[in-house]
This record gives sequence, structure tokens and C-alpha cells, in this order.
Amino acid sequence: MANVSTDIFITGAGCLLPGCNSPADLWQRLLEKNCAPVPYASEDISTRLISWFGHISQEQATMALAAVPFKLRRYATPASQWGIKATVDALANAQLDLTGIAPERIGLFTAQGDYSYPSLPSFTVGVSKALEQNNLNLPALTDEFLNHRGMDSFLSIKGLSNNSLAIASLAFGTRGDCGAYVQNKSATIAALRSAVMSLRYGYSDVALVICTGTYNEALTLTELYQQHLLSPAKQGAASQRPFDQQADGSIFGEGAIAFILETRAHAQKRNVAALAKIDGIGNKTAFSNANEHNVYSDCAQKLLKKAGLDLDSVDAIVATGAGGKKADQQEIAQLEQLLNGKPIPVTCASSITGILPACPVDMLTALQMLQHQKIPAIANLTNPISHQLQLVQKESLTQPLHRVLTLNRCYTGFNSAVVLSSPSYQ
Amino acid sequence: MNTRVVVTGLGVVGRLGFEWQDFWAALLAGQSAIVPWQPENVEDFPVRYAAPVDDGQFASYFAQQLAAQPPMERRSQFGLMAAHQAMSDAGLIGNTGLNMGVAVGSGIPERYTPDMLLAMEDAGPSWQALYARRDQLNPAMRSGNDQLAALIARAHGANGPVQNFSTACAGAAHAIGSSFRMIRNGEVNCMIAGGADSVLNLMTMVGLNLLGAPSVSEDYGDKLCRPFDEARSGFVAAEGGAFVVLESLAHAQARGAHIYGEIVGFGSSMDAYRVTAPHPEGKGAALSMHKALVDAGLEASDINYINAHGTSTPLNDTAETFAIKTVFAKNQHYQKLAVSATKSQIGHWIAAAGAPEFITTLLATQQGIVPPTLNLESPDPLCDLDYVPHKARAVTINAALSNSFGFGGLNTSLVVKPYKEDSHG
Repeated sequence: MANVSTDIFITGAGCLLPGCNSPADLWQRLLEKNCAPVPYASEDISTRLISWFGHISQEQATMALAAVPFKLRRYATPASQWGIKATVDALANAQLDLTGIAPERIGLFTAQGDYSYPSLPSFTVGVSKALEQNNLNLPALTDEFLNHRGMDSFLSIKGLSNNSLAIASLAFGTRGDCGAYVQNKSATIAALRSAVMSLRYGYSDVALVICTGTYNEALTLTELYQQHLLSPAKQGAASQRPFDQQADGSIFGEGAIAFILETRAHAQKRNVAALAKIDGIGNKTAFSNANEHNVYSDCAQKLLKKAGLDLDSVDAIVATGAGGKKADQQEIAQLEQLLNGKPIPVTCASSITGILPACPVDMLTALQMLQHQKIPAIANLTNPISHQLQLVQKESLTQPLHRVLTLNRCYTGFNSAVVLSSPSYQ
Repeated sequence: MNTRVVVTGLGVVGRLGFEWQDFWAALLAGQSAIVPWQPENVEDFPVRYAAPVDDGQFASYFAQQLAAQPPMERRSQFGLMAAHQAMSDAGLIGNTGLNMGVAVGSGIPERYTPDMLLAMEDAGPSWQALYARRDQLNPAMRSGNDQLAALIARAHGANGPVQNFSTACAGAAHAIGSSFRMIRNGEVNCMIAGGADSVLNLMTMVGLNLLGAPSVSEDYGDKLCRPFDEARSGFVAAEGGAFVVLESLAHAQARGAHIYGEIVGFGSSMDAYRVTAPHPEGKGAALSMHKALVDAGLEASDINYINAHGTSTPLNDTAETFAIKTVFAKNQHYQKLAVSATKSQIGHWIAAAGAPEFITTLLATQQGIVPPTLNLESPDPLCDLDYVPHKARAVTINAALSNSFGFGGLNTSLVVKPYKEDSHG
């Protein structure tokens, strides 16, 4: 099958992110340093321990539901609904009508942060009823669930497979190569890697990459809180402060991003303007702490080497900026090691949306940077923890941008790097 | 030329054994793993049979390896031990510095039964109540869905790509297929690939039962799993873990590894038909088989054996039969195929199912003997292939297919061949 076409392009992008209904909204917020997190609210979870969150608003959720074909709505998790909305917009952005492509040639690759089902709300009806009857035990609950509609009847559909893949394949009529990944932030890279491989080796002509997820799930929030990863958010929406001396933890959130990927030949045939070329994707895991000191910079160096590039060809970096003191110090140390004095501007977008599972906000930011030839300043960065790096602070930088390196690291030990370049740049 | 990909290590942990040799011997002997089952603390649960791992034997067999591990989900325990067995079988334990990745198929998290009760005992659905009881929560249940993939990577020093597939019952086959692609295309030279799953907990089984997927019949006892039989009434849930070590041929040869066989093709597709049912004519299934054959550079007539998805559900078995007849229509080659359903013996390992079935296909290909489809006493008239009923059969296999199809219309097919040094795949 190896009819290798090495150039893979992103021809469309869409998103539904906290405070952002489109990549243009995200860009506007980045330029204005307008942070989207809001006070935490949930119908099912009451807590004062989590105060701020990057929520998808009710209005956005309604918009997303409307994008899902009616007959699929009862099966689709909220995250899947967001993903469908983002994909509809990405297809429009790519000016791509899927009905003109053989369904067998459309690949679909989905990334999901972690399971949001089963969740507490999946069982709320049955549990509440058992509580009312003062009869909260497994046999009574089983009876409620099995015989009295006490549980989400489609729990298995929502939890067994990556719901997004099944729903999206039906919504868009895709029948080609596929993959679904549920693995926190690293899901994005797994999905992108598979999509690129599918296109590059001729298994697909077009690939949809849908990344979606939420940290708004009780056990997940418990885990994040116990790991001291959550910011107390004393500064409200401005509490996510990447690389700042006052950083005290992350604001987590939810959302979806979708990309349309095509081979050069396919994009040229359609005469569509690409958003970026994917020069390379790399990842490195550090599940053992012993290697933590250099795995992030190693990941970037190896990727650049494999792509036949060097750092001098990189015009800007979009970093992670988790907002935790230790995490940011580690990232800064590795950036310093990687750049070794090279004056490459470093920005990040985490303060705008919060930390999102499986949502490559960094890549979306890089696409916007290439399009607008501008590097946004890092919001909420007033006292940088490093003066060696050229962290973009206060004002956006306008300068020629041909290639952007995005770097991501997750608290799970996963590190990744993606290099995007302007499609006109050869 | 594409890099050839060979299988050099096998590991299976399930009710039929904790070594692949025991698993394989049990399959050839026509043994069944299916036994009476009810969820813990619940009586009169509608699902009466399953194929659980024997906890006592498992804990005893892997006592040494498990003692050093952190708390983890049940499925992760099975998977980690199966991956250990596969790496041990490949002679790669303690071998550091490999350009190696991990790919895992996994399903629904197991975490909600005890945790939910704890959380809700006092105050209903409350995160605060849950957090207040954090010390009582089983730490194994708080990990993300990629817990197993991370544990395997850590245990074996894998620092390459890590993939956690969630494609329902096609998950493990997707993991193996994706690993095959990555090695063939030179991204890595070694992968640990497979899956582990355990749906035998109350909440998951309730959810599956509400969809009408598992059999609730009491008529056939331990012969309840009856793929392609007229009296089939749903799948029989099971649990376990199975992994293989895949390597580039050059990598395997350089270290003198034993080679079980060669993986030569992978196809994946989607039905785009319905969330809850496969396409009745198996369109997606046929597409994945066709794509796998094209990927392998083989004609349909080159295939001698198919390890069917064969779930024992009314919809799957007719759809899969239809799909096989479509793909192998030329010269009615489908009449010459041996087709068997391993699930008739081991039950349905759900997200992990593709891994033990891939291993079965590989061993059948290597040894020229096909395990049977048990309990096929009265074949469905619409299921009219040679399903190798009741007893294993010697078959010369030049190439074989392993099918795995998942809820939501997700399909995968893998093609294997016996290893021949001068073959060019």
C-alpha cells in the first residue's frame, strides 16, 4: 500500500472551546488576553473545592446538540456533541463536501481525554430513588437500574467504545480507516499519528481528526485535586498563570477541536488553501520519573531530527504552561535546555481556555499564528520564572512566521511535539 | 519494500490458562471456559453465565509479579501479566534501550460500583461527599483509561508511541493492526500489542443487559455460547488479557528470536449504519476484510482459515457470514474456507477479544490445526459456512484472517501467514 506522499496538510479547523465557538474566537481572546474560565457549576456535583473551570456554556451545548443528527442525539455524550459541532465547522473551513468523496476513503480518528461515562449522573435517578426509600444497597440499586429506568439505558454505548467515533461515523457517513483513542492529552497525538499514517500510506484520501473531552467528572476531579493540580483560583479567571511566579495550579476545562487532514495531491486537486503542513509528530513517554529531567526536550529534538529540521528553522514555540509551580519549572528548565540560548519566542494558550483533555489548543493556536503572522502574548504572565527564555509577554509580536513548534506535556508523563509550517513555505 | 513484521512473543491470561500453551491446548481439546456466574452481592441477576478468570489461581500464579505492582483495575492486572508473559516468551524481559511502543485495546472503566455507593451514601450525587471519602476509595479505580498502557510501558521501559484504543470489541485488534503499521512503516521496530478487559462487574453488566447484548438464557448451561447456531441468544461475557510482541523481521533476526508467524495485512472500516446494530449484510465487515487482503497483497483465494468474530448474537453471526460470502464470492471460495469462532470456548472478552483470537489464528496458521466452534448443534440456515463444528481439524493454512467487530460499527481484520524466511510478504 505504500504509495508514499509525504506531505500532509491541515485544510480545515473547527472548535468548541470555553468561550470560543470558532478558531477566530480563540484568536481574538488570545490577542485580548481574555481568559474564558468561569465559576464552576454543575447540576450534579456540588463543591466549593473547585471554584473555576473552563466550561462549555449551556448556549454552546445547545448549539452543539443542534449539529448532531436528531436520531443520534440520545446516544451522543456531550463531548461527542461538541466534537460533531467542531467537525461541521472544520469541514466548512476546509470547503469540503464529504458527499463528493467515497465513504471508504474518508478516515476518522478520534481522541478523547478520558471516559466521562459511566459518570455519577449516569446513575442519579436510581441512586436518588434508592436513597428516598432508604434502601441504598447493591440489590436494590440493581433492581432500580434494571427494571425502573434508574440508569442511563445507553450507558454501554456511551462508555464501551469511544462514543465520538461511532457517532461521528454515522453523522458524517464515513466508512474508511478509523481509530479511537482514550488517553488523556496523548490521545491527540495518537489520533493525529494514525491519521497522518493513513493518508501517507494510501489508506485514506481525507482524514477527520476529532479531539474532545472534559475533566468535569467526579472521580477525575477527585484525582486532580488529590494530586494538588488544581489552582485555588483566588484570582478568578486569571488564575491560570503559566510560567509566572504566582502560578499556583491549573484551571481545568473541556471542549473539542477538529482538524481536516488531506494529502497534498488531494488538497491541490480541490484547489483549497491549506492552513498548515504537518512537518512532523513525535512523542515520548516518561512514566518513570527517572527520565523526567530531559524527556520533553528530547522529544522535540528527536522529532526535529527525524523531520530533517533544526531549531533554527523554527520561528516560534507554543508551549504547554500547565500553571503549576513545579510543572512550569520543569518545563522551563527543559525549554532552556532545548533552546540553549536561541532567541525563539515562546508563547502558550493555556491561560485562555484552561487545561483541556485531548484538545490540542496549542496546535490551533499555532495555525492561527501562521495565518496571522503574529505571536500572542501569554495571558496572566507578569513575573516570569525565567529570563533566559523569550517568553512573549504583555504585547503580541508581529513577525514573519514560517514554522511553529508545539510542545505538550501532561501530568501523566506523556510528552509530545508537533511541527507545523506555513503551506507556502518550502 | 515494506518492512516485514513478525510475531515473537505470546501471552494469554484467561480462564483457560495463564500460559499460551495451556490456552492453546484447551482450545484444541474443545474445552469451554463458560461457567455459572452472578455479580457479587446480587442474586437473580438476569445474566447467568460468564467466563471469569479464577481469582485464586490467578493470584497464586502471578503472586510474585503482582506483589510489586500498585493497585490497579482488574483488567489491568490481567493485561499487565499477559504483557509480561508475551515479553518473557519473546526473551525481552529486562531488555532496555529498545525502540519499542505499546498499543492496548481497553473498554469501559470498572470504577463505579463501590465508588458510587461511597459517594452517595450520605448526600446523594455529591463530589464533596466523594472527596470527603477519598481515603476509602480504591486508588486503582481513580486512574485514567490508559492505566494499563502506562503500566506496561513503565514495566518494560517502552518509550516509543503509546496508544490506548477504545473501539469497543475491535479494540485489541486495532491495537495489533496499528502496531503492525507502525513497524512496517519504520516508526518503531518493536511493539507490545493486545488488550485486556473485564466487564464482569455489576454496573457494566447492567448496562450491557439494558442493550440486550448478553444472553440471559438458562437453557444451555455452559453450552450457552453458540455462534452460528439457530438457538444462539446473545454473547457470553468473559474477561482476560492477551498480548503479542511484534517486531520488524530484521530486529527479530538480529537477536535470534523465535518467530511464530508473520502479520501481513490490516484493514479497518466503519459501518456508518446504526449505533446499536451491525449492517445486516455486513458491509463494514466485508470492507475491513477486503482492505486487509489488499493491504496484504493477497487474493481472497489465498485465505484458508478465518477466525470469525462469531459473538453468538443473532445479528452478528448472520451479518458476518454474509460478509464472508461477499468477500470470498469468486469461485465460491467461501465454501473452501474453514471458519471458527473462538468465543464459543472462551466467551467474549469485549475490548480484548481480538487479542486471544489473533493468537489463535496465528497458532492455527503455524501448526496447521484449527480450533473448533463449540455448541454448533443446529446451524442457522443463514449461517451456511464450514464452521469447524465440535472438534479441532487439521488444515493447511497459507494465510488466515482474524475478524473483530465492535459496537458502533467499527470493524478490523488482520491477515497472518506462516513465517517463511524467503517470503516477501
